[in-house]
Amino acid sequence: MPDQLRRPRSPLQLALGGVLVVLIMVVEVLILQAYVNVNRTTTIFGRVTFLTGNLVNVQREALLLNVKIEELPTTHDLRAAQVRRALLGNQLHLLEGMGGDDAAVAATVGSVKRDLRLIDRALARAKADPSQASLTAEAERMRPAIRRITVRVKELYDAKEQGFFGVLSGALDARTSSERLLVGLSGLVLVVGLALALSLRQRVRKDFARAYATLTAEVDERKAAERALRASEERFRSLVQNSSDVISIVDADGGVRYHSESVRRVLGYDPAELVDGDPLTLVHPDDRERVARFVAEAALRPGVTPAETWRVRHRDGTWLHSETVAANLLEDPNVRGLVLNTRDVSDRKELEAQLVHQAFHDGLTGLANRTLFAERVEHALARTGHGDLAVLFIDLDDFKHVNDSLGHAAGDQLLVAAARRLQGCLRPTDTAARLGGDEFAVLLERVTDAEAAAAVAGRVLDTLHQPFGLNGRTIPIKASLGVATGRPGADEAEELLRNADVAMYAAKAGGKDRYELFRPDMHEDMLQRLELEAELRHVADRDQLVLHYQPIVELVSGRITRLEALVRWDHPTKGLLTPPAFIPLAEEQGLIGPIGDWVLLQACLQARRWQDQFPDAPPLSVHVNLSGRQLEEPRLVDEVVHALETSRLSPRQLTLEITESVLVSDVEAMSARLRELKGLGVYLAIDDFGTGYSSLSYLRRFPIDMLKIDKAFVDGIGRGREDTALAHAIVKLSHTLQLHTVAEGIEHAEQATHLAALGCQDGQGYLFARPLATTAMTELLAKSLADGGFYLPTTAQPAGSLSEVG
Amino acid sequence: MGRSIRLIVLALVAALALAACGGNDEEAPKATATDSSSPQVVADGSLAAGEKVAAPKGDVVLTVSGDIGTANKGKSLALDLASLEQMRQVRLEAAEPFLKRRVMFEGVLLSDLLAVAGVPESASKVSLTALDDYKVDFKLADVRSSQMLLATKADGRHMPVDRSGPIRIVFPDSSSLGRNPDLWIWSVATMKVA
Repeated sequence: MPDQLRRPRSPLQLALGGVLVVLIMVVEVLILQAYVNVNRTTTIFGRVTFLTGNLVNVQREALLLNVKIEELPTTHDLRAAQVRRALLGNQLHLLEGMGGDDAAVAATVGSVKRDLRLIDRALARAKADPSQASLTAEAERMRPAIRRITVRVKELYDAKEQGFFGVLSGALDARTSSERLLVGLSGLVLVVGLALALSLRQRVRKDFARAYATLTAEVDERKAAERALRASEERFRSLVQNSSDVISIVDADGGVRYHSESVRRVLGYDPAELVDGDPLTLVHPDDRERVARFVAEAALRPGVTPAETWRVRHRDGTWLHSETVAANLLEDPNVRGLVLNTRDVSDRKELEAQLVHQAFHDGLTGLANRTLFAERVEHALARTGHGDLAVLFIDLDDFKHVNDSLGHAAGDQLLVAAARRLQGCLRPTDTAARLGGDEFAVLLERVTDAEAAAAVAGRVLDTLHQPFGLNGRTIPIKASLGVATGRPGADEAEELLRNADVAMYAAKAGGKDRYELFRPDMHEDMLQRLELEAELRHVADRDQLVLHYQPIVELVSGRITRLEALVRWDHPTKGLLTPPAFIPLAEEQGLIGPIGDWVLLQACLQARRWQDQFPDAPPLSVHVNLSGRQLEEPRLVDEVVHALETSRLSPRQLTLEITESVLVSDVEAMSARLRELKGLGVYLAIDDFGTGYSSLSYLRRFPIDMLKIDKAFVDGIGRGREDTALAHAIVKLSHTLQLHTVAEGIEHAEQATHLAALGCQDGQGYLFARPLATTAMTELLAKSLADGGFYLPTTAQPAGSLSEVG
Repeated sequence: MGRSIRLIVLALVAALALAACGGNDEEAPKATATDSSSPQVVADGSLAAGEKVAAPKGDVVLTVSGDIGTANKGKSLALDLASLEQMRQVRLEAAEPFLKRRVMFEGVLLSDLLAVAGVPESASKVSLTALDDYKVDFKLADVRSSQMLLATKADGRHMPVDRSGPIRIVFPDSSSLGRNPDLWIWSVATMKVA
C-alpha cells in the first residue's frame, strides 16, 4: 500500500483508509480463491479427454521439474530433480503414444526431447560435481531448456484446445454469486476510496491524486485478474464442449442441471427441454433401477466411476446403447454435481451382438454351430426335472457326390434346404445345429422315451426324402441318423454326443438312409471296425494276405481247366478272414488299391509257376476278382500289364471277374475301361450273374466272355420245376449270346449232371473242391494229373469224400 | 453373404493373431502359445507369506506401511526389485490403456505381496502413492478379486521411471476395475494398509 494512505490526517480518513485496505485484501483473496478453484476444476476435467489431459500432466510435470531445478542450489536435492525428470519423461512417452501420427504432437515431442537431453547432461554434470557453484551454474543452464519445454507444451495445448466445444455452463452458473460478490466489493472499494479521496482532497490534493492513481491501478489489476479468470473459464468450457460425447451435470438426487449441446445430435432433444427433468424417463424401463444405483453409487465416493452401459430413447423413439462415466464433483464448489460423460455406443453393441451371433451360428444355414449345440446339450443335462432328452446326429449320405458333380454352390443350396427341412420337423424348444460339412445334429428336450426320439428320427428321414429341385434335377436327400437318449443329472454331454455319433456311424455302416438307436455294444463294434481299419492299412506290406484257389472244372470230363484266386487275410488274432469281412471296409477307406495289386500279381505269378511245374498238362488259367473301386481307377490297366509282364503269363490265361452291379454305375466310363482291358487280350467274366438289378442290355454292350451263374440258381436245381427252369433259361441265354458258362456253388453230383445236360460248360463248388491253400492245391493238381490233364473223379464221387482235401 | 462374413471374421482373427505375434519381443513368444490374457504363474518364488523378509540390498522401490505383520525397517516393509522378484512371479498380457497396445507384464500379484507383508483379515483397504504423489485407494476385496498385478517388467524388461516404472499396477483384461485407466497407477512408491 502506498505510504500516503497510511498517514491520513483525521480519524475519518484513518477509518476510511483501514476499510479500503481490508476491502482490497478481501477482493484479492476472493480472486485468488476463484483462480485456484478454476485450476483445480481444469485439472479434473483434463481427464475428460486423453490428449488434453495428458498435456496438462506434461505441463504440470514440466513446472514441477522447473521448481526442483530452481531449488537445486538451495536444497542440493539432485535425486528429486532426477525423479521429476523421469516422471516428465514418462508423461512425454505416453503423449507420444497417444499422439499417433499427429505432426504437431510429434514436433513438440521432438523439441521437448532435445531440451530434456540438455537437462540430462546438466544433471549428469551436477551429479559429478555437486558443489554449490556447479549446482548454481547447471540450474542456470537448465533454465532456458525447461522454459522452452513449458512454452512448447503450452503452445500445443492451445492448439489442441481450439478443437473442443460445448459449454459447462452449469459449473459456471455456480460462479456467478462469487462474481457478484466480487463486483459488489469492487464497487465498495471505489465508494470508500472516493469518500476517502473527497475527504483528503480539501487538505491534500496531491495525496488524492496519488490515491486515485493507486485505485485505478488496483481496478486495472482486478480487471486483468478477471480477464485471466475468464480465459481459464473459456479453456475449461472448451474441454467439455468439444467432445462429441454428451456431458451432463446431475444433482446428487439425480435431477439434471445441465446437458451439453451435443445432446441435440445424440438424442435429438434440445438441451433446455431436458434440464430439470427426471433423466430416468429416457432410460429403458429394464435399466432404470441399475442407472439409479449407478448415480447413487457415484454420489457416494469421489473420483471417476468405471463405464456403465444402458439403453436410452432417442426423440424419434428408437433405443440407443449409451456408455456413461460419472465424475463426482459434488465437493467442487464450482460444480457441486456429478458430471456424466455419455457416448452413443449402439454401433459397437450391434457389432458385438453380431459377432456373438456369428460365434454361435453357422453362417450358411443360420443353425446353431457345434459350440452352441454342445452348450445347449450341457445345459439341458444340467437341468433336472424336465424329463429325458435325446440327441440326433444326422449325416447326409453321399453329399460329397453332389458337391463333386453339381458344384459347391449346389451343395450349399442342398445344405440350406436340408437345414430348413430339419427345422420344420422340430418343436420350438428343440435345437437344430450344423456341426460342419454335411453333419447336422438335433437336441430334443423332454422326450418320453427312445421310441419318441426314434419317431422324430423317422420323421426327419421322411421329410428329407421329399425330392429337392436342384439345377433342374430332382434329388432326394438321404441321410444316416444316430439317436441317443440321456437323462439330466445322470449322463455326461460328451458321452451323449459320442453315443449319437456312434449310432450314426452304425446307421452308415448298416447301409445308410436309415436311423439307429444307440446300443452300448455299438461302441464295441465300432472299436473293432476302427481296429480292423488301422490294421488293414498295413495288410499288404505285412505279408498277412494269402491267396486260396478253387478249381473250375469241365462238367463233362471232370478236368480242371482254371483256378479262381480268392484272397484271405491271415489275421494274427482273428484267424483267416474272407473278403466280405474286410474288402468293403478297404474299399470305403480307399485301401483297395494295394490289396488288389498284390492279388493280381501273386495270382499271375502262381499260375505261371504251376504251368512251369506241370509242363505236360494244358496251361492252367487263373481267375482274379476285381472290385468296383479298382475298376474306377484308370491305372488298373497298367497294373494288369505289369502283372502279366512280371509273371510272363499269357493274357489268354488270365480272366478278370467283375460283379454285375459294378457295370451299372457309370456305363460310359466302365465300357471304355473294359474295352481297354479286353485290348490286352485277357478274358472278362461276370461274377454272381443273376443277382444284380441291372437289365440284360449290358451283356451286349460290354465285351464279356463268360458268365458265372450264381449259387442261388444252382441251389434250386432238382428242387422244383420252376427253379430248374430258371437255371435252364440262364444257360440258354448265355448260349444265345455265345458266352462261356460256369455254374458256381455246385455241392451235389446231381446238380453237376443236370447242368452238364443243360449245356453248361464248367462248374465250381464244394463237390469238386473247396478253396485250397497253394501247397494243398499243388498236391491236388499233382494227384489228379492223368492223360495230359488234371482230372477230378467228379460226378461218380459223393460230395463227402472230398472233405479231406477241403 | 454368409461366406463373406465368415471370411471377414477369419481375416480379423488372423490379423489379430498376427498382431499378437508381432507385438511381442523376443522373450514373449513362449507365452503366446497359451491364453496369456489371464495371469499365469511363471515361478513359484522363494518368498512366501509368513516368512521373514530380509532388509533390501538394492534401491528401495516400494515401502509398505500401516497395518502389516511383517516389517524389516522400523514398522514398515522396504522392498527392492530383487525381493519383489523372489515372490511368486506371474505373467499377464494386458491392454495398456495409455499406450493403447498389448503388453506382456510380469510381476507379483498385489494380493500375494500383501500376504507376504502379513496384512491381517481385518484390514480393509490399501492406499497407493506414486512418485508423482498420485494416490489411489483400493478395497482389499477388490485387490483379491481383480487379480491386479504389481508389475516389475514390461515385455520382459525392467521399467525405468520414465517408462512408468520401476513398478506399476496393471489389470487383467477381465477385470472391471481395469477399465478405469485412472486406477492404473504407475511409478508406485508407497503403500499404506488400513
